[in-house]
Amino acid sequence: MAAQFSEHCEGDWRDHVEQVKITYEHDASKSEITPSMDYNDFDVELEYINRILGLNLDAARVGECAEKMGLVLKSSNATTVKVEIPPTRADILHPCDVIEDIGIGYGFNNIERVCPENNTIGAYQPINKFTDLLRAELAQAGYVESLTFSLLSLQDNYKRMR
Amino acid sequence: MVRTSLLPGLLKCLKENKAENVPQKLFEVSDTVVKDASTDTGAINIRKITALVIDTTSNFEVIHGLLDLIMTKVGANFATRDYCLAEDNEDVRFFPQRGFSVLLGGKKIGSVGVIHPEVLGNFELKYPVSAMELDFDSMFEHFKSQNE
Repeated sequence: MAAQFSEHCEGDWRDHVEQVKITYEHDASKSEITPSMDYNDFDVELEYINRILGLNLDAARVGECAEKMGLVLKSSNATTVKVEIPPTRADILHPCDVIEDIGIGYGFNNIERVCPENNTIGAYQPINKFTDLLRAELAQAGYVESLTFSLLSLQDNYKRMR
Repeated sequence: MVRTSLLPGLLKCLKENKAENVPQKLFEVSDTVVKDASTDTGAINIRKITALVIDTTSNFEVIHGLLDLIMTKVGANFATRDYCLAEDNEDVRFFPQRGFSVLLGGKKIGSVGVIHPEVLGNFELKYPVSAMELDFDSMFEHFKSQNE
């Protein structure tokens, strides 16, 4: 967040973020510099990318798609690509987040639409269906359904109920 | 905290709707949460079915009638003692001798009774309230066993 907001700052602070070193009181040997501005590398297998996206991309094409999204292809071999993630992308935590960006770079609309191999339909859980049936019975008996807050104060839940 | 009973919520609902005429009848079917060390989260959901009526008289028979309707619908007959009521003076939420446990097949599944005036005072209610609160899962189990 600091990385992205700094460009909206004025004067000398534009594009500058001051880092702070935190030393822990209870453990003097432990310290960290924050916010972290590290670039992280992600190794993603080509087979994994193509399985998730349903495509057949080679490393060069993956690099093109990643670059469109601001991710830099650092190196690649026959099976794996190494992608560099800038500190502005706090939302990329796992290889599959990288694949999402590659998919966006490729263009979701360019992915061919196919029907799933097995079709499923939804149905009520028996207990929820039974709940709805009983709700209807209570309503038909002239009672008004209310949906009250699921969080209460300790006072309401215990003290006021004796 | 997360509620362990639906009654306080409904009583608060009555409190906020004092301008409306009595009788008022309310119900709610929702999940409550209690601690349970046997699960990963340390808590389990208990679905409850709660109804109450506020009127110029206590109207216990009204809420008892609703209880009987629900029990009939889940396949428990009062005439053959599939379910019965047992006086329960341990439950301090209810007026003395006006609070009952509901037993389904001998197992307690909830309670029904006239709410204690002290509780009514805490929720600033001026009229008597009768209420019932039942454990949903045990009734569902009974319903399933009746329809096998």
